[in-house]
Amino acid sequence: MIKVDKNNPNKVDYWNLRYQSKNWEEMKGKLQTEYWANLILENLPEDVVSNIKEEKLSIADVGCALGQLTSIFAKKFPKSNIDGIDFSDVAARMATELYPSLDFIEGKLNDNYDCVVVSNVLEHDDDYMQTIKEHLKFVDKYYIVLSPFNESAEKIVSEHVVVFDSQNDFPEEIDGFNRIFIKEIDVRSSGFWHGDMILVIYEKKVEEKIEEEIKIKVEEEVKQEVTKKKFGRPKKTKK
Amino acid sequence: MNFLKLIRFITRGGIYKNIVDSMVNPIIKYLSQDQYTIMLEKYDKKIRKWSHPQDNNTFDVSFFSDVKQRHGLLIVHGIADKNYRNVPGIHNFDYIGVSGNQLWIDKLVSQGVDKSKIVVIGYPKLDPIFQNRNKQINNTGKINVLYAPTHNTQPDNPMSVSSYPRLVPKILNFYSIFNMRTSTHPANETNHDITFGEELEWADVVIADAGSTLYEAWALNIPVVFPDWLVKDNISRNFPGSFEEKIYKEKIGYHANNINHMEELIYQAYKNGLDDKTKEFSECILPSSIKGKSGKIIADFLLNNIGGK
Repeated sequence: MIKVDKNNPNKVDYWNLRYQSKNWEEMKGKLQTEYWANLILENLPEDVVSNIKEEKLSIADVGCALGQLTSIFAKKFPKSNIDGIDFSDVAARMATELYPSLDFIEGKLNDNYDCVVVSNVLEHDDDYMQTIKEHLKFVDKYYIVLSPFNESAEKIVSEHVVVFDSQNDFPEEIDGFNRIFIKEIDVRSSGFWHGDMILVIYEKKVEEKIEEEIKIKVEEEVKQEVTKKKFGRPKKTKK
Repeated sequence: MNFLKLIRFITRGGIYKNIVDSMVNPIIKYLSQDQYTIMLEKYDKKIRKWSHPQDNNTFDVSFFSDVKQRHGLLIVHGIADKNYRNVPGIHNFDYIGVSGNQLWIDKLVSQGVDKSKIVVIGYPKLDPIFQNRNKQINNTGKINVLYAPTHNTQPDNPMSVSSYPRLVPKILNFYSIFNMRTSTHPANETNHDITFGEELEWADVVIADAGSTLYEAWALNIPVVFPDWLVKDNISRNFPGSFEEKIYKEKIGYHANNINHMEELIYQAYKNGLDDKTKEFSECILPSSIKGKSGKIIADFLLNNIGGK
């Protein structure tokens, strides 16, 4: 991974300006987002797809921009609850206008979802690993990342502050999640990107899930015990 | 003259609400509640004009010249010229407020306005900033640049006097070089915030084109860089004889011929600040002697000449 030495432009103000001025649409941002959504769906392992469908897993599209990925995923997984989240208030508002039947949230990921999709986001973040760790706190099952890979030094997009150039940039294990899938995809022929992309999927470890369930159970038991002590057992009434 | 009338501020909703409020609030601070009232103007679709019911018991203060009922005092909602006061029927106002002295008076008189109708009132919107200066110290090692373009009603029109959105792709590149912020005109902004206070206090250099922001920045001693290659010709075409045309013709401030030149000028402007020519011109637009005092000047004028109830 290479950190690009420049002022990180990825402020809310910057993105608001891109969306508000229609620069995002002029630069084919909407079409590109649709393309990324379909690329993820085409490459998701079958067992992940069927698991999302069967278990009706909830999904968050973090960095949803104008909501095209959110919308495509909502069609693919009609029984799942799906939300788009973006730190740009302008994006969230515009996405809501485009897809009124879907929910778009302004801000950060701060609620739990079974599945979190982070498409073309992490390369804008100079502390991407910290961001992944923050995200994973809210992920109950799958964490799906799509990002440019091996971006050539001459063509680095001005918004990108990190260049992923090794599969090790996405370690096999992060904070109780196992990397279950990683794939480099050549998308040169798409017209949307001049190089490769990398698709990575993390899954929460089963033992972590069990440990968490035990923790919750213990916490609930303690809570019940405290409640009992506080209010006492109901007195038996004399007949 | 003593009319002993109730002063009625005619305000507007929608995108201009915040702007008009920022003009009215510094004035009513110096009036008692029984001396004024505030009325919201409505758009009459039939006559395609903003209007409000006439009331012979009030003296109206308007902030827009495109009203059906032109009477009372006109205080234009922005400090820019844009030939806004050069419209048919402007003579129907009893008084026309201007922010500065001779330059403004000469211009209006040359347009046929009776000199006795012209009142020098400053610019109330900036009063709170001058009264509570809170210039932020920039310790980041990078220049704080605020892009504040004027209103663009036709974003696709290449003849627009606004650099928005044509300059946006270049401005986006500046985000990687400077500490950039953008504050578009409320009409072009989704949440209708106004370019004001904090953002101006934050900025080391402003990129502006033809709107009030350029004068506001100068009044606060902040240098302005202009995108001449995008708007100069359109300003001459749309606002001939205006102060904005003068600014571009006489190169008052920092004038860029292209985006690379603009970047260069931002560094220069940061280093050198306002030159004497700009200071002199800015002083004519809003004299230092009345900075921060506009609300009181207007309130006194209204009470002394119109007479509050």
